[in-house]
Amino acid sequence: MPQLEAQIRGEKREDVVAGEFGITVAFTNGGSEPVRLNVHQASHPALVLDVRDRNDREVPLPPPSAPDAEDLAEGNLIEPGKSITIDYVGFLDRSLAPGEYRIRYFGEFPALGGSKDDPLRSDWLTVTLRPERGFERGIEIPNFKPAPDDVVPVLERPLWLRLLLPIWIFVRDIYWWIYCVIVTRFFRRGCDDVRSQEIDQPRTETISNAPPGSEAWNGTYGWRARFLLTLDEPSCTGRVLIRVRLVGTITAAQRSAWETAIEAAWNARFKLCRKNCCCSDGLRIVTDIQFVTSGEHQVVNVGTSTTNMGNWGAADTVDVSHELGHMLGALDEYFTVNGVAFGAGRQATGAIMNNPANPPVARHYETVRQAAGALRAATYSTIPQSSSC
Amino acid sequence: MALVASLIIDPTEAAAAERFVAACTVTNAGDGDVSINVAPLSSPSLALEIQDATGAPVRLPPPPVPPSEPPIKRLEPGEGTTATFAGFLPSWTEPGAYRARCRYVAGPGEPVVSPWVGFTLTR
Repeated sequence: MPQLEAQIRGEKREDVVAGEFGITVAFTNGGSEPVRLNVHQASHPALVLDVRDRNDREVPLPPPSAPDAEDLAEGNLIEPGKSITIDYVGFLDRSLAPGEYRIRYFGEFPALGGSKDDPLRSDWLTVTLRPERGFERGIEIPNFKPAPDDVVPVLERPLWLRLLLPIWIFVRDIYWWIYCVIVTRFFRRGCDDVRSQEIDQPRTETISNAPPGSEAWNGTYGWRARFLLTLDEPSCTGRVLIRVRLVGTITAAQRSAWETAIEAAWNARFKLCRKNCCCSDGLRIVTDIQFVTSGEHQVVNVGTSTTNMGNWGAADTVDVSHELGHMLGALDEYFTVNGVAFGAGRQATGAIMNNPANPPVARHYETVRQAAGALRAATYSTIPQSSSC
Repeated sequence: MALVASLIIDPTEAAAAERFVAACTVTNAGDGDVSINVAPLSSPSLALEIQDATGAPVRLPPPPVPPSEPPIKRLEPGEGTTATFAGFLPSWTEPGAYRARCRYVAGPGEPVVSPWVGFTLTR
């Protein structure tokens, strides 16, 4: 029997969402001698998680990333009586059919806590994947328009329109109130729709007019904005999930600091609004960065400083929030970008794509807004969260 | 100013984009001291030029917002400064043969560039 014990647990077991569901495995050294476990290698779900469907058929997981130096190292030493935990998130493919599945830890190599003859295994954890609701995942979004590559100026409304606008809004609200009463009371339309879509948009920008000393910034750059967008009526949220696979060395505290900084910068600021019977005060935009070992949207190399969207400084908690903006599809806003002049970078009043220390503005969620509109076949506007829709 | 650039890519063949590491060195080949702005060497997006097998450019993500004050480094004759870029190739890059060179943009004139170095992404 292996010296390590593996215990598996999941916060939620019923109605879980494939692709977002997570479990934790705790490894405890129940022996009297220290024992090794390669935590890095054991963090690859495909190497250690045994997933079965209702008929006990094996459910294949996405392949692990190519082994790196840490995968091949001798691993972490666990003292007698001590435990360590590993979180596995997003390892179930979103295309899995709804129903019951069983998951267990299964390590059959010494680096993973066991051996071929005597594998380290946990008990089974049974979960139920919830049925697909709403938009079918993985298909092309009709009418998706990439975010505009420049800033569209807001036109001043004429006086007559400004005077008539409040009356028009009042009439429209009355109409919607009556419509929603009919739909929800008589046709029993529930506000339980949840729709998700993987977004993958190529983005380019050309920087010009860099001042002396920064000429190297002149050039054309390209990347892909990738995230999972979920429009969730029960919680009135528009959730943007970015899965990031890290390459390199970072402490849990540094990783947590990234997450805190990014979510503080991008969350609780804006919401998506449209005239609707459900979530009449809009869908709060919630940005969630998850660190995964496979199935990533982006790969980030960990270094000593942040040098672009794919290379972040381990101790940096400012510029990483700017780089996340690129992952959401936002363009830079310094010098001249795609013909629009912004001036110097890091201006005191500049928004996050100019000055990473400052918060974002509505246009930085433009790709999210466009994707939400395509997902619902509707037109959304991006409104500060403190305002009414 | 007599600067020369050189580039090493290691390994020259790998199955994952994140495996490639580029080391770009700018050396003072002149007889006197030279002060250089090292900001252009601060990001792979600024210091590396990459082409695919057809010669088409491989675009890298945008560089970080530039610093308010350019960082200056003094190089004595024969001295060099090296910038190392681990995982410089974007994860969405298609498998194939590529070449890269180090590019140091010192000002409005022609940049100092290294010879091209080939590498292959297999999968």
